[in-house]
Amino acid sequence: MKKHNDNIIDKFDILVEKTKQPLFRLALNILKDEEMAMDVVQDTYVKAWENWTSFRGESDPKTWLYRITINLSINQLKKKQRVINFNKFTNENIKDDEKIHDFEPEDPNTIEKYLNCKERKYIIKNAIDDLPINQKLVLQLFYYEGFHYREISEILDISISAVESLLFRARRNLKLKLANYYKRNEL
Amino acid sequence: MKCEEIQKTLIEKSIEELSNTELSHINNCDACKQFAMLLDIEKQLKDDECWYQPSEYNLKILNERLQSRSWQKVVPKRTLINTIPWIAAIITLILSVYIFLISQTKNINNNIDETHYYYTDVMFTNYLNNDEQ
Repeated sequence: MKKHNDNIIDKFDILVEKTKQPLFRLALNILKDEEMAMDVVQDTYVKAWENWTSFRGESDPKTWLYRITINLSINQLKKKQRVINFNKFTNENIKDDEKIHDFEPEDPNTIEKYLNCKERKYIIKNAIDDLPINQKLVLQLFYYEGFHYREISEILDISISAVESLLFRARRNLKLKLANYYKRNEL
Repeated sequence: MKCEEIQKTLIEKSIEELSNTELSHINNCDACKQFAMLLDIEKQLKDDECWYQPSEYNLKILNERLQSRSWQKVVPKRTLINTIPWIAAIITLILSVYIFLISQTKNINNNIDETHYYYTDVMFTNYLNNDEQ
């Protein structure tokens, strides 16, 4: 019995070791607050451990952890934004695509150096920030974390076709924002 | 081909999907080239700089926090579920003992009451009998 328990603990420890950094990054990109992201990661493991023995293994434990982190982060974000500006949050969530507007980078002079690779990435980072949360998540999971459509559909609990359309809209919206930024700052 | 058309196409399509004519225009037009570079997001989204990255310091703090394995202090749900029949059995046992004791006390009280009524009745009859005499 003790050996069985040790085995369960070891498996969970390996999973924690593998996922802690990407989960921290994922939570951070949603919350943009390192302290809150750290709490979310810790809560993710507590929640996962609570259900670890009943986890049937139908899906990859990694995608399961991602799903928990996203749900916890969104809950935290809701709390945070409810405090800051409740109305702003509801507009962003209800009308995802209708809220495509120009983003304002922190430093407008960056366009002068946009051929510089690093600056271009800075501009993209700001544009991503301005996307609705579900589009931002799908971009991060697909491009940065390297998940496939099926895995993303498991993480976000949506159909594969929904993932494809979300990804298409995310790419298009991001390009539109960048194009608007380019046109406004064209030399 | 106008720059405006090319730039519209660049928004809709990735560079790999462009035709040779469109590609040659981009190569020869500085404005379109710069625009294409900015909109070539597919490759750039894979880079660290496009995403928020946790600082080394906070990563270290998180590692320290996770090393304490705080989640292991939480009892897994299945263990809790397994204890439910035991908890139910203990509660039932306590309740049945309590009900049994209450009923016993009530019986004793009833007996006392009945004896009281019996004696009261006998005394009253005796009183009446004495009074008649």
